[in-house]
Amino acid sequence: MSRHLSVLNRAGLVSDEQVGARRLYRLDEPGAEAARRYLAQVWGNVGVRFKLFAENTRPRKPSRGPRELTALRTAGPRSSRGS
Amino acid sequence: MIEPLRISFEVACPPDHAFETWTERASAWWPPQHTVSHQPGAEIVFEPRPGGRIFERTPQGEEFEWGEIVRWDPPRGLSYRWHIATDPANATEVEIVFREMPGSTTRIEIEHGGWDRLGEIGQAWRDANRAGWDGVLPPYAEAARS
Repeated sequence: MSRHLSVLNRAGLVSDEQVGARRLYRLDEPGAEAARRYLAQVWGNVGVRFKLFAENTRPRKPSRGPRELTALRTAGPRSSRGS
Repeated sequence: MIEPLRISFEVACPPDHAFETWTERASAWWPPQHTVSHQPGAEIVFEPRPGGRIFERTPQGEEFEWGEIVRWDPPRGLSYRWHIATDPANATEVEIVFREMPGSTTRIEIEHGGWDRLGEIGQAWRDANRAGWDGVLPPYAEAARS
């Protein structure tokens, strides 16, 4: 649980305060906007990197027939890079 | 009910390649800053079946659970419970559809929901989602083309 809270803390969703032996977390007021920014950043990064990789590689296991399969094996999965 | 986050964008490849890239080659493109270990070279595994685990394995062999496959329907889509860096009891739900478009293109539609059970944190997401999520990706997609 503390790891989860520390992630939320880094994301700006909660803030923490040491009270004696305990660490108390509370939801930040601007938490909603921080949540939005955080998720936008995560899905944005995921989407962009996925798109770049998918568009610059070729299938390893093509389903369109043995002739293409042979050609792709020869060419290798990253041969389209830079084309 | 808290509205799910919805994102969609197009990728210039057929759905079977998009599906395979998402599920079998995540190690190659998943942003390292969004892993649990933040370690370069971490392997990301989608076990290809309903009930399959999604996890990260560091080069040292340490494993971190990220979620569990619910629906496995290649190349049309998949859904999974998602609890990266949190307790499985706090899992949210991710559904991804790979929609075939003309010209060997795929439209990726991502729906990230299940916020209701997260209590106060869920309330924060609800507020955040009022602003809407459409258009999260287009600026990035634009950058990716240039």
